[in-house]
Amino acid sequence: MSIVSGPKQSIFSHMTIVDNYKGLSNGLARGGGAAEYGVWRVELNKNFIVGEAPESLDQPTDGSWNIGLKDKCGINSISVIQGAKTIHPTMASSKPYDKYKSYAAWGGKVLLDGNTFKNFAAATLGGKKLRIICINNHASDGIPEHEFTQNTLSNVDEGALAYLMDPPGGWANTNDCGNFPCSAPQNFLASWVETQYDIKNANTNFNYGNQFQVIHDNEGFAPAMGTSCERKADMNAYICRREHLGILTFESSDPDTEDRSMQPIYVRLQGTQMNNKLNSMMDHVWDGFYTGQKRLSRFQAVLDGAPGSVYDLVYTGSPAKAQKFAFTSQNGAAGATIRIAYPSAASRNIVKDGNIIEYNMWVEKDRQYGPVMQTKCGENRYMGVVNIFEFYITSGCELDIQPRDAIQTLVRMEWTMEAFFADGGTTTFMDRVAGALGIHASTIKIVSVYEGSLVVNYEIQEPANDLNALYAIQEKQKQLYL
Amino acid sequence: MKTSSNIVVSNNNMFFFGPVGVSIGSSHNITMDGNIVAHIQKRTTVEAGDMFQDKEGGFLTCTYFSATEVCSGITVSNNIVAGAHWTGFTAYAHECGSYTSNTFKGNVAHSINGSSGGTGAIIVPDRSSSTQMTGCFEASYFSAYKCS
Repeated sequence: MSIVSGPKQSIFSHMTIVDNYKGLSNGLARGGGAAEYGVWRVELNKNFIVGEAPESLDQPTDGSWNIGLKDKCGINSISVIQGAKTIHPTMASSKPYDKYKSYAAWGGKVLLDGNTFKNFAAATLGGKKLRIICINNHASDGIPEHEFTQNTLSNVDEGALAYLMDPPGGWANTNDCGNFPCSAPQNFLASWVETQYDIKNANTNFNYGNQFQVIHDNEGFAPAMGTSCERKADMNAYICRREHLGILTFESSDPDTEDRSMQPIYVRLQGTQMNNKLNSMMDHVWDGFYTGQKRLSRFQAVLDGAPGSVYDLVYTGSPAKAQKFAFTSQNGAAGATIRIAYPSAASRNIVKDGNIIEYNMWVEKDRQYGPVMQTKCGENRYMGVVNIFEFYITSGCELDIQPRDAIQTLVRMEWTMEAFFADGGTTTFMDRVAGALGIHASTIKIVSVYEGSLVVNYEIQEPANDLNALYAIQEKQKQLYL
Repeated sequence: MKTSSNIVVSNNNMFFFGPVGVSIGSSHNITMDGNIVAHIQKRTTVEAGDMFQDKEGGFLTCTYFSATEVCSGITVSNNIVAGAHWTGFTAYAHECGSYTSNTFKGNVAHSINGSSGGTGAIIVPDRSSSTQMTGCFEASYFSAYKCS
């Protein structure tokens, strides 16, 4: 195992791992702040991992080594975290080595290529669980998608493929996750492609095909996947054949990200009963008499990014002004439209690679911006009146929602809607406002047009985000209107 | 061994030491090949309170004395740790894809006991390699069995 800070890539390969308690694992640590953003790769390649082996004669007879009565794993889930682990801890609370005690870092790609898993019965000789995949029982905050490619299963019982633990109820306390457990384990995803089965070994009594996915038995998510996912109670998991599954990660980029809660956040796929309840990260502050109550507002949700999928993120606290989103999937074609309902209108932009992506074109007949057609990552629109901001995100893409300084204006006119649009509608309106204020029409964004008599809600931005220039426009507008 | 250079230790048996079997620290050009380190025990004489944890392990490479100590030219190959606490090995990795490297190769750890999970090896980047410290590091050809 390894959880060190500094490198961007860690590989364990060509190892032989036989009959261990927690199995093979790996990891990386990235310091918090700007240093943690990017792609950090953790790989397990071409290893030979054996579930259980007969006791050997060279072991001590005092029983100290005997792990026959423990659950055993082939691999323990891998995370990238913010704080490196001390190799030789001198405090009991830091043990075991896989006890993270740190936020999950933003980036993280976990690849498992060309490994062989052999002799995994669903139970050990001692009657305990024996599984290829286990979730690290300290992974409260985030687990990247585990991408398995060209792995071989040999003499593996179907039930031995995984055991995806529920988040421990003990996490639900003021010192850790609040009044419900942190939700990373429920959003675990292992995607297998080009899987091979050792057909010479008749004991491999299942065959899911070469491409399948393993997700947690998360009642808020898995049942909504329909018949393409099958529940496996003994694994506490579902086996799916949905190639667009992936992980959506998002966070508050506001300065109060550790202090102001947005959770629970519900992820709902339109057209289904999905209601995936997300928690933010665990409070890892070492508590004395007072609790730290510092919890990073960063979230991870398993998502099906099939074409046409539209998800509502329902925040039970006020959404952060600035947020960052990323979606990762083994399938590069996966993507989803994300909708966020805000409590009020404000100027927001989608920023990709440092560049603002403008709203879709205004559609006069619909009296709002054109719908998100899932044409490119970052395609977005704002829906006035209902204050819904929606955007499309694809696998491997990162987007920021950034608030923008703007003059927000609402004009009520004694005019009918029909007459307004017959006279050129929003285009003519923007041209006239721009002419009156001496600014370019492109800096004016219509937010909404609705009856009452006729109300036009618009905002004016300043291309260089120069606040002094914006105040000057505001003053000029006041003089003209008042 | 600490702050040592140009030493080869091969084909020895180290039995019933504690809390650490072998430790290399801040050393250079050290080769450890074909040794057996077995039955490494906890100290029973420490009186530092219940929360204190001793530094333990079978075969430690440049991790025991400091988290930042630097070694170079280390070869740890074909050694066996049979019975230890916390970890069988701590070891330097090699450059990614460099499978001819003997920095840490062909070693075996088994019967490692620990506090809710003894590890076969904790592998860290070679601190004398800037490539590994900032880019990629790899560990390969290691075996572990019955580590609890």
